[in-house]
Amino acid sequence: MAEQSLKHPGYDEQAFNKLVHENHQRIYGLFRRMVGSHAEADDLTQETFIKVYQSLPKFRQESSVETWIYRIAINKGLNYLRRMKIRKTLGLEFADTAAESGESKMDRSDRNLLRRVIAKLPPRQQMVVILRSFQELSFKEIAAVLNMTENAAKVNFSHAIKNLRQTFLKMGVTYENM
Amino acid sequence: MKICKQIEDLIPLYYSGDLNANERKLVENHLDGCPTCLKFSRSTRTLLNDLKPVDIPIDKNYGAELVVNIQNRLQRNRRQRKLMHYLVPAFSSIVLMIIVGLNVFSHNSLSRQWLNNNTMVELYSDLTHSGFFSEMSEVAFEQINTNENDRIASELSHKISAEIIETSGSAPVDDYIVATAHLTDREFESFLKEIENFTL
Repeated sequence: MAEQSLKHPGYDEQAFNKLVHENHQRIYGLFRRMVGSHAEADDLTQETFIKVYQSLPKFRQESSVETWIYRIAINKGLNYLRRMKIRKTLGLEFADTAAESGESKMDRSDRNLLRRVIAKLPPRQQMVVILRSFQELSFKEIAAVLNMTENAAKVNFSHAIKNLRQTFLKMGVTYENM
Repeated sequence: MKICKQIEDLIPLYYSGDLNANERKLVENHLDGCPTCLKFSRSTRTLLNDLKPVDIPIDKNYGAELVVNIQNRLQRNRRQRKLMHYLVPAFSSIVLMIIVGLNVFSHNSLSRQWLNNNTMVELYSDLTHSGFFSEMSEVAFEQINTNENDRIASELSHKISAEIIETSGSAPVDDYIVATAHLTDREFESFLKEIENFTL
């Protein structure tokens, strides 16, 4: 991630708008991969930048602006996924369509299915997979965003991949003999 | 086996390109002689290929629209905060006025209740001898210093005086003094004439 120096653009509308322009694709892409639909991703992107605007006076520049924005976005995304999980648990949302369909064999290249299976991972593993595989961040950057050591990020990634493989196997999607 | 468990942990990092040369060599050597781990590594590679990012199509105008939407939401937030800035004190003032109003109303009602009390003399006697009545005007009427209460106090005093005069035969000496304090000169003269025949 490129370094950016910034002097509280919260006080300067033009600087803040520039910050949005420079970072919106990464943040929007992250949310699209996390939640799927454009409307939800758009809403979360807006909320992230509003939070960035409100928190800029508190930004101590200990990390790069991009890492800091990523961290805010990750928190927003995780909170959203937790809310959705609660809604699902309470029966406010339709149950997982893949589980309902009763198919023993599913198309493993289905991105929605992939997203749903990733959503079943523990939050930290989920974030590490999204940031490493979808956002293509290095483990050093992931460690900075998620506030963990580089080694912990790697361990989470390995466990996440193993868990994904296991979940797919349980769903009847096999990766063997490929 | 323990070594297989360690290799399984390294395989995802092997395919994501995050192992150093030594670790890579360790994995490759192990896979050469372990069909179970080789099978695991193939399925992991396929899974990681599926996880490769697909391009997310973003409309070229999306950035500009996003900036406008964010600015609109920030504007709305500012307006709401400004509104709350005025609404909170205004609402607090209204609540305070309602509390004060209810307080005044309840005091007035108490005063009217006294005036309408049928057993005025008994009430008066009870309060006088318990020492409450003499303080009532200070406590109750000084707190709410309104014309209405002055009128009620004056009316009450006159009623009590009249009651005492009517039943003067049984009233104690102090009551005559209290009663006469509120009489006009003409009423006092008439009162003196009435009690001339009494022996104290």
